[in-house]
Amino acid sequence: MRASVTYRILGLALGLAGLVLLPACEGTQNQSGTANGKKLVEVSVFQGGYDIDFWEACARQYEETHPEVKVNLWGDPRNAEKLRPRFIAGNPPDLVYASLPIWILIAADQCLPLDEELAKPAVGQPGKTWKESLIPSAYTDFSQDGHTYALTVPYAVFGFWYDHRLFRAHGWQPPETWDDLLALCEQIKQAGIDPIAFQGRYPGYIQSLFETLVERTGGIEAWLATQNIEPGVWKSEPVVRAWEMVQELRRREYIPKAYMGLSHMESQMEWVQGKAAMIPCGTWLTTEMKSSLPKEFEVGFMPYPGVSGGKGDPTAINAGGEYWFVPTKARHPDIGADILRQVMSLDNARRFVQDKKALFAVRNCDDNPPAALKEAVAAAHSARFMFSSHVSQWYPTFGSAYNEVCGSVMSLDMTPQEAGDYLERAAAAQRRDRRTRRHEMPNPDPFAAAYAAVEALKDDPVVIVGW
Amino acid sequence: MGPVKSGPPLSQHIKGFLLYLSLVVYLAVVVYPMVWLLLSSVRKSEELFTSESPWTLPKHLYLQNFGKAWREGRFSGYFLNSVLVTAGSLILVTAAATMAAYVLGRFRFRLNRPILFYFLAGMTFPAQLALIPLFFLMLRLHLLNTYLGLILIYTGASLPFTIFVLTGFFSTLPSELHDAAAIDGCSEFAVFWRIMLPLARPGLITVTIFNFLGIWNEYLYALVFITDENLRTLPLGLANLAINKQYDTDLGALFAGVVIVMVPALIVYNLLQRYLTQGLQTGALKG
Amino acid sequence: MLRARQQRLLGFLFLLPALVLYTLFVVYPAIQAFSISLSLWSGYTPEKEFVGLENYRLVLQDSVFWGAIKNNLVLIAIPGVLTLALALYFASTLAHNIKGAQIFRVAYFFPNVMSVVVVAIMWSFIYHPKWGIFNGILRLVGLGHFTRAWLAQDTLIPAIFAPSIWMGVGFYLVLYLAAIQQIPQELFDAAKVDGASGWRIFRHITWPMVWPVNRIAAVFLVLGGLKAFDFIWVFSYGYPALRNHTMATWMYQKTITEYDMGYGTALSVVMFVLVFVASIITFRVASQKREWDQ
Repeated sequence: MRASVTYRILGLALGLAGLVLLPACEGTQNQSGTANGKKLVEVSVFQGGYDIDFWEACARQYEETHPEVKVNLWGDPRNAEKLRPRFIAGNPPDLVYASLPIWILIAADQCLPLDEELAKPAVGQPGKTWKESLIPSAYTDFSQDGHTYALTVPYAVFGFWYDHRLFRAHGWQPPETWDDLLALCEQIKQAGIDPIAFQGRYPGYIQSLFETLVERTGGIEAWLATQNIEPGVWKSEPVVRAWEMVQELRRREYIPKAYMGLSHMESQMEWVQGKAAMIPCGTWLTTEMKSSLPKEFEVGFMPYPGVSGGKGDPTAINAGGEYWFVPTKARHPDIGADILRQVMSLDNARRFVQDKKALFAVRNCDDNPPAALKEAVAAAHSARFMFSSHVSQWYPTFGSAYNEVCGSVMSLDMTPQEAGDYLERAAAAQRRDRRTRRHEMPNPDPFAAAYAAVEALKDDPVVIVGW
Repeated sequence: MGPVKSGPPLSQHIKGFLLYLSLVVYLAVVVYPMVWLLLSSVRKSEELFTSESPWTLPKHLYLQNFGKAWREGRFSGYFLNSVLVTAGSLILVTAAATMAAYVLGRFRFRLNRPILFYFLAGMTFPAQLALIPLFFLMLRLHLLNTYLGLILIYTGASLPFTIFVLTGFFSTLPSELHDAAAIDGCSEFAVFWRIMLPLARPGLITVTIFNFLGIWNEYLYALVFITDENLRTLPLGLANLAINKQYDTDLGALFAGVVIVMVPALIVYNLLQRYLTQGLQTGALKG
Repeated sequence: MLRARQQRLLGFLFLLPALVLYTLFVVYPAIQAFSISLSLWSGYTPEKEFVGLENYRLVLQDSVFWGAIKNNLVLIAIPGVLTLALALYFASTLAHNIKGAQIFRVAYFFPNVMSVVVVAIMWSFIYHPKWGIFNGILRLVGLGHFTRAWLAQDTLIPAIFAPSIWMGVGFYLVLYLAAIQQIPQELFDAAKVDGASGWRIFRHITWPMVWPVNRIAAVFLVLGGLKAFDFIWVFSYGYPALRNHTMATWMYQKTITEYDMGYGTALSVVMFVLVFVASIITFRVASQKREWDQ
């Protein structure tokens, strides 16, 4: 009796051992190389709000025009984690779209400079180079020492989103200045609706508004200084004033306290259901909420208001994008870059804007935007320039402190003055840190070109940069 | 002989009543969230958002949540993965620990204490300490993203606690049995296999329950070491369900997923819980 | 003799698998962690830069880390004491053959059966400002004024007390019950005959006999509390405010979110040392009080 039990257990154990050892092979992604005489190229794509169908179509497109290449494109929400061991082992894919610490990779020479590629002709646009077909942000965002290491491909602009019907019904108008915004919020509050919803559990959502206000109050120079964590700037007057303004929205309960406990989906749901009039967000909003937005909802976008008496341009718009890059240690980096050039063709860009209702970093791709995107595109087009925050990516430790302060300021746990002092200390620590604990990141200023252009603008205000 | 007081005084009754009441109240506190979870898992997700009050009964049983979690959320696959990994780890850890504990609990030799402390020290290691080095170790051994890799890690991590309990257990077994068997001509191994091991059953079951719960529900290591979605264990699948954009508004499916993860653990616990007391009495509470 | 040699062979062979597994997959990585903590490393490239004890020097100056230790201690002490008190109370009540004791005992353990992550997710819904049960109950009894977002920054740490206790009581209840059931019934009977009240019985009979459990429980609580991670993590959506960090979450943020492997590992090494020392101290202190052992 006992023996048979023993044998049964042993048998089970052996069986399990077999089952276990059998699939002991690694993840099933084909790595690049050659197969059937074709060059096998691997592309790793982030699977998020934009899904992967669009990128897959691009891959198939490339295979048609380049029959000697087979593209293996795979997507995953956590592809960044899957790629980490690949980078360490030295066999990364040929083209990557993932939220990796790009600046660390750049500093470690893991990203191929794309300058030569950018000089090649743009796909489907004879007479233009790839570089010329892109909006400047696409190649300035991730450049260093004059070289471009990654390209921003899909991107978003930030502003307040609202429902046209609601505003029409109450006769409300999008505000032009900050004071107008406060007055509008008061009106909305009187009407019994939450003026502004907020993704309180992720206080970083306030950064786009905050940085825009810094730009509005102190001018683009002030904003650039904050990005470079220059001494003294984080507690300077424009910055503290920006914290004050942002906190004002909470103090007056224009962003009611309850929102501090809601996630992005929950607060956005409140907005969709009409319980809140406005919400600060990027152009991915409509895609993210597509399953809950009723058909009658008339999506509206208003850029963040200007600040009367401020030094900065009232039309400048804050943007942020997601990047693609080619790893230097890829087996076919040239083909990887080539695929990227194909992905960023004008036709593809136009299709992306229509299908995904989001922005793409190719010029003129959004000449005919879908309804939900119309006003955002108009705002982006009429903006004098776009600016995109990098400080948290360049300086992760400072970035944590920054995120922290967003939370504290919005929960009314910190005064603007305290916020300024705190971040100034964090900036100082980060500056010191770079010498002892970071081996790279010389003080970058990839915006030199944009900055110079802005300087030039001062004499000729009619010229529009970027479009 | 005067009249005898019949029964305990009133104050005793009241005390007894209050005592019982406190038990019932806490039972409610324990059970209510689980009932709520169960109710929510059969509710349509939209209801969860719109019903302001958490007390209403669902309009009708929406069992599709379970179907969604099982098929679209791929819980069927994850379930199998969890079973394989848990079973594999349990077998390995029980085998290795039982053998080691037998020696450490019954054999007297100079290195006995030091070796025991060597193992016990492992209980103080925070899980995060070894996380990064283990990651690169697995990478080098090509065991990243495999069942075997995860099993080995879970086994290693469970060894200290298991050895701790089983050593205590084995040390209480009477040595007369050993001597008697030796006289009868049993080999050392036979003594272990035929006599001591069966006696250790309560301890083994106790330790298995705790190890099962720990491994079945483990999340951090699985998160770091398994990136292939086909190999995900249930806690990972659950987390994926919670953060995946598609299911952000489908809370019903999320709750159904939670119930799916919970049920096997509940079953295992229910089947084996009566051995817990005995196992603990002789194992953990000694020395 | 042959016997002795057989024993030695068996002993050696039996110890081997556990030793190998443990050393390779637990001890070796721990040692490696120490070596990583001596370097500057992002974890994304093979290059590491040796910086000696620099990281440890920074740990000593790290105010967030020391604040995190405070949080850990709070999370051990307050829920810990309450859990043990409740568990002991229920154990001594259930030990005396109350109607349905079995049901209570089994049911109280249920929360322990779930993964901590699951419990955290469940309680994040219980605490939800709009449709959570917690606020629902407050509104029901007319205390609607006190409803708030319980998982906001300032109340996060206290919010963890309830779920910790909820999870812990069942586990320690089982331990205490096992200990109490070992007390010979005659002691209780004799005490009752002597007319001792419930409290005196508890103080002089039950309490000394459950002391071994207290010792183990203390060690488990300290170990568990110092490793606290999941509740904070889930309740803060992965981004706890600096003041709400525990050692484990801070280490995770430094390592994974900020790519500072060397520093993060140094934190975990310091954490380990603290845990190790703390458990030894707890064990020693708890052992000293065994004077009551008869």
